Order: sequence, then C-alpha cells, then structure tokens
Amino acid sequence: MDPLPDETLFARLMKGDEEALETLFARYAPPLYGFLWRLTSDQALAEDLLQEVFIRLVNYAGKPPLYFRAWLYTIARNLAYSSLRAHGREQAHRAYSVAESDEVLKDTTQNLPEKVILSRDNEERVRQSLERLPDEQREVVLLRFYQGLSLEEIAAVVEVSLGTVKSRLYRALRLLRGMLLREEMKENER
Amino acid sequence: MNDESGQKYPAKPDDFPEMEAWERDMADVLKKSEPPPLAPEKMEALLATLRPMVAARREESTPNLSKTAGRMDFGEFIRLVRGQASLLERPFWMVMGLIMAGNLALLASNILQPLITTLFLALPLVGGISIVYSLHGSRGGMWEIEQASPAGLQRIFASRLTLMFVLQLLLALPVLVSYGAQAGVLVLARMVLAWLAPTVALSGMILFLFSYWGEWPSVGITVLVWGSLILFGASRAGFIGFAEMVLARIVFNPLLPLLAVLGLAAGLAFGALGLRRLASGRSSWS
Amino acid sequence: MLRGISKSFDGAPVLRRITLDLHEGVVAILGPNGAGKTTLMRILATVLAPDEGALECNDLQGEAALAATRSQVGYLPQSLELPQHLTPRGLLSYVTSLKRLVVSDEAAMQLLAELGLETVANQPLGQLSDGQRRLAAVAQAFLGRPSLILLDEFSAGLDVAEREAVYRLINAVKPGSLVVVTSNLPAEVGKIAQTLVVLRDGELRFAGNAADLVRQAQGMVWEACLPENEANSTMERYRLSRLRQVNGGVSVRMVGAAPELADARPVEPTLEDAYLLLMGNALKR
Repeated sequence: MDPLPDETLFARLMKGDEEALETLFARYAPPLYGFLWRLTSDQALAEDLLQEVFIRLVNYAGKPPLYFRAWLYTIARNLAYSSLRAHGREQAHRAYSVAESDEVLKDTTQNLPEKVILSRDNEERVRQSLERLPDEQREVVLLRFYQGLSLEEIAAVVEVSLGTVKSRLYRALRLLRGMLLREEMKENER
Repeated sequence: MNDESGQKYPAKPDDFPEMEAWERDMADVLKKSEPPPLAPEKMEALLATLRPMVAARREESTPNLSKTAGRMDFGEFIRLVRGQASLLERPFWMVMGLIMAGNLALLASNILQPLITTLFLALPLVGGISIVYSLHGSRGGMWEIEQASPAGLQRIFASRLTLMFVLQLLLALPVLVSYGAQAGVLVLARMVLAWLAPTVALSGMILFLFSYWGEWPSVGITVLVWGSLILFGASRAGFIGFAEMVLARIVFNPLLPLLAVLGLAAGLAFGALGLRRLASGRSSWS
Repeated sequence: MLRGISKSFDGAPVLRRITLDLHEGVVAILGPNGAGKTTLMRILATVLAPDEGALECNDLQGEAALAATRSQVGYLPQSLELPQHLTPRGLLSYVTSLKRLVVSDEAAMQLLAELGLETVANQPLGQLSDGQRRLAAVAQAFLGRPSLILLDEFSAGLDVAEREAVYRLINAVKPGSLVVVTSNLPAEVGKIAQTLVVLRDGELRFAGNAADLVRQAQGMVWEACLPENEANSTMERYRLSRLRQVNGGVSVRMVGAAPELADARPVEPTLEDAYLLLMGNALKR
C-alpha cells in the first residue's frame, strides 16, 4: 500500500493518532535536523530546535496547511532565525553578507572549468563553503539539495517570489562552484 | 529583476540556462557534507516527550459515548429545548412578540380592555397552530438527522412541546396575573384551567390531525372547531361584549373542573397518538 | 453488520437480501440510480426499518443495536432540506444538542474551517451556494468524531476543491472508525475507499477491495482507433468505457468479450472499466 500523504497523517495527528506521529517523525525528524544543523552550524541548537518544531506541530490548533512539507520547513526556518537572533547572531558567523558575496563572486568565477571535481577533504570544504554563503542563499541551497523541495515549495517556505528563489539559487551555485573550484586549484598547485 | 544586492539578475526560467547543469554538478558534491548523526536515544527521547501531548489531543476530542446512550439529564434536556428554539424562524418570534405586546398594551389601556378577553380566547388556537409550525423545521434531511440521533424522536418532540408550552404560558401570563390579582386566587385558578384545558385539547387535536392530513387540513379543522365554539358562545351572549361574557361563562361554569379534566385527557391522548404516528414515519408529512 | 436485508416500497423491491459485514475503514457503495444505495444508507442510519433482515452493531441486535448505532453515528442524508434560516454554526449547535454532546464553539468553528466555511459560518444556509450547504451538512455528520460516518451522495454539487476538503476529513477519522459513502462515480471513490460494495437492482453484485474488482475485468478491456464514420456503429455494438477524439478519428475503449475490430488491442483495466463490466446493461450510455 502507498505511504499515506503528509496532509492525511497530519490531520490524523491533530485528532490524537499516535501512529501518525511516529510516521511523520520518522519521515521528517532526520531531514529537519540536517536542515537545522546546516542552517545554524550548531548541533546542540539544531537538536533543541528540532524538538521545538515537533512540539509546535503536535500542539497546532489552526487551519490545517494545504502543503504540509513546505509549512513544516517554514516553521523550522523561522524558529532557527528567531533563535539565532535571540543569541545575538544575525548570521552564522562565518557567512558572507550579500554584498561580500558579490565581491567573492567576482573574484572566484573567472576562468573556471565546467565541472567541479573535488579531490580530498571534500566534506570539510563543502561544509565551509556552505557556511560562507549568505543565509538567504544558503537556505535555498539546503532546501533544494538536502531537503529536496521544489522551487515553488522553497518560495513558499522563504516567502519570496519564484523568480527571487531562482536568482538566489543561481548566485549561490555560482558562488559555491567558484569557491570550491578555487580551493581545488590552490590545492593542485601545492 | 534585482535581488537584494542591487545587481541585476535575469529572473525568467530561460535566463538561467546553465542552472540545470550546475544543479546536477553540485548535487553529488553537496551530498558529501553530512550532518552529525542524531542519536537513536535522542530520537526516542523526543518521541517520548511528544506522545503525552498527542494523547491529550485524543482525549479532548473523544465524546463520552456512554453518556450519549443513557438517560438524559435536566441540563441536556434544556440544551435540547434551546436547540428547538433555534429552529424557529424570525417571523414566528415576531408574531409571538406582537401578541405579547398586544396583550400588554391592551392590559395597560382601559378603553380597549374588552379586547384582551378576545385575545385570551384565541390563545388556545395560537398554541395549537404554533405546535404545527414548530414541526415544519423537521423535514427532509433535518428529519432524518433527528431520527438518527441519540436524542431520539420522543425526546425531541418532548423538548419541542415543552418550548411551545412555555411560550404559550408566557403569552397567557399577563392576562392571568392581571385578572387573578384583581379577582383573587380562586378565579385565577379557574382562569388557568380555562386556558390550559382548551390549549392542551386543541394542541392534541391538531397534532393528531396533522399526523394524518398534514399542515393545512389540521389547522383549518382546528380553527373551524374552536371558532365555532366561540361563535356559539358569542351568539348566546349577544355578540356585543361577547368575549367577556363568554370568558365569564367558562370561568364560573360549575362544570369547569370536569370539562377541564376531560379536555386535558383528550388532548393528551390524541396528542400522544399523533406523536406516535409521526415518530413511526407513517404520517403524510414525513 | 447487515444480515439478509430486504426492503420494498409499494410492492416494488428495492433491496433484496443484502448481507454485508462492515468493519473499519472507508467503504464506498456504488451503483446506478435506483440501485438501492440511499435505501441501504437509511437502513444503516436506523432511519428506515427493513422489511426483512437485521442490523447488528458491536455484536448487539434489535433495539440495543439501534441504540448503539445512533449513539455513535454521524449521518449525511441525501436530502439537503435543512432549515434555511439556520447558519452553519447554528446547524452544528443544534446537531450538538441532538447528539447529546458538548462541543466547544472553537471546535465547531475548527470543523467548519476544515471545510472552508469559516467565512460563511454566520450566514443563513438559504444564502449559501449549493456546495456550501452540502459542506455544512457534511460538517454536522463529522461533529463529535463519531465512529460510524454515513455520507449519502456527499459529493453532489461540490467542486474539486470542496471534494478534496471532504476527502481530507474522511482520511482523518480516528482509527477504528467506519466511513460509508455512496456514489455513482467509481473514479471518485477509488481514491478514498478501501472496500467497494456494488449494488445493482437492489442486489449485491460485488463486495471487496478495488484491486479485486479490477482483476475481474482483466482481459476484458480493449482499445481501438476508428474512423469517425464507424464510431456510431461501434457504440451500438459494444459497451464503451470511453470515447474521445484523436487525430484522424476516434479512440474507443470497450469492455466485454473481444470485439470484432481489426486493431482492437487489450489494455489494463481501470476501476471504471470493471464497474461498467459489472453493471452490464444497467447503465444507459
């Protein structure tokens, strides 16, 4: 039998169905945790935020969302940013601002090869590069590549137009590619 | 389209032709970064925190089924009566309001006082007609919903008749109190009988006729019967000032208690037969 | 549980010895007009007494079964004749008193919101569209989270979004509940029902899951592409499941034995095909 859609499970959860809770939790706790970790760069904070997201979910008393997944990520994202602001961190501290990222973009995207192939220390390099993206670009990349959301869903989660999502993704990818390839070239020169 | 940095970037789908290739390119690269795993104990601990909250939702939304199948207490019955009131439309309340206002105005006015006895004589008829009216909300879909409900048709009818009776009593009250205050407790008691017995008798009759023949025949026959009785009394009283004469004849008739008991019994019996026929669904109306 | 249910009106049989054992989940009763669906629903709702046979509920029989059914049923009748001056909120309030429940105003408004009626909650039913009136009637059936929900023709007059809202409510019933719906559209009920019951002329023709019904039509569904001038004669000779214009002719989908058409090829049956096959000549096309 096909797995039940999220909206059905959520509606059952609202009526006190424990099995629906367990299914939704198994489905979304790991990817949500990954999203929160990558967004905040803080494991402990990510765990706390994950708990907070699910507590809000279970106690929700409003009109059921039409599109559960996008709505869930919206809650997670908003909680993450509120928490970062409460801790006095406007951005993950290593991230570029949008203006800084423009400078980096100009610097890194000249004469780059077509394909990004990384040799070693991949995980660390990728993580660091992601952290350097401005928040607004990083969240789009996270939602697209790690959470598998469509561009339309991402637009709903971050509450901007589809065009803005595409533009942010475009710049993020250029920047990422540029940073990663530049690092790789430096590595090869050594 | 400009994004936040002020730089111009194309926003239409075709303006990012290389994005698809980049996405494919980056997908494998980005996947190399994994978050630190979430320990199974932590997942289980989080679930354990959530389970009581889910259970609380279950409790708050489950009705107590044993309650819906047992005896109905007074509070529930009152709620059912209030529910019946919601089925009555605005015109009904306006008519009730007008009759009440008429009662009070006539009582207050010395010149028009004789009219109040005419109104009083009409009240049993108003009672019967209002019962027929109260049944008209229960048709079609609503009737089926009522039939399928735990409250049951008997309790629904009982609550409806209770509501109608209370409203009729309220309409009769100004006259009863006014005359009783002037003429004493004995007269008041006889006036109550003079109102109650015809009201119950006519209501029973109209219900019985309604269960066989529907709205208009039952109302028509009842109006005819009561109207004829009043006219007969009026003819004996000479028509002018007849209402007070008729009322006086009724109230001071030595046979009043016996006639009242007969009227009450007949009204209750016919009413019960009519209700049973309605509840069984064999009536012309359902 | 329905055991040997028969019912006639004015001497004409409407249901003939229907025996059905219904458990939890969503059951759809399918059949053409006049098949006896509404009569069966009214018997299930205890609104109509059968001429023969018995209704059992939770292993109870007779009056006890009737009382047990009524204490846990939410019923949407086919007739939408409701007091027109009542608002959706007022309707829920009245039905709450009928169901002997205490339901908070917030819970009632939440139910109306799930069906998209929150903005018209205080408007008289007479001022609402047919779809909104039906949704209000659907709402009262779900009031108090009954464990037996009977929806007769719930989707008549509803647009796509309104139907989706009802499907969501149906899918969200508490575990162990039984929802019975009627329809004459197989495609609609295939989406929500686990069990299908097919009635024809008052008789039970099928009871089981959709996959089993579709299996019955295996090897009995064909498609062919015909020139337009042959389409009419084909329609008369064979039972058509679908007919549509394509470039250069008409594509026909037929159910039954292999047609005598040159390029007829067998195709995988759908629920609609299987239903049409079962109905035989009962459906007028």
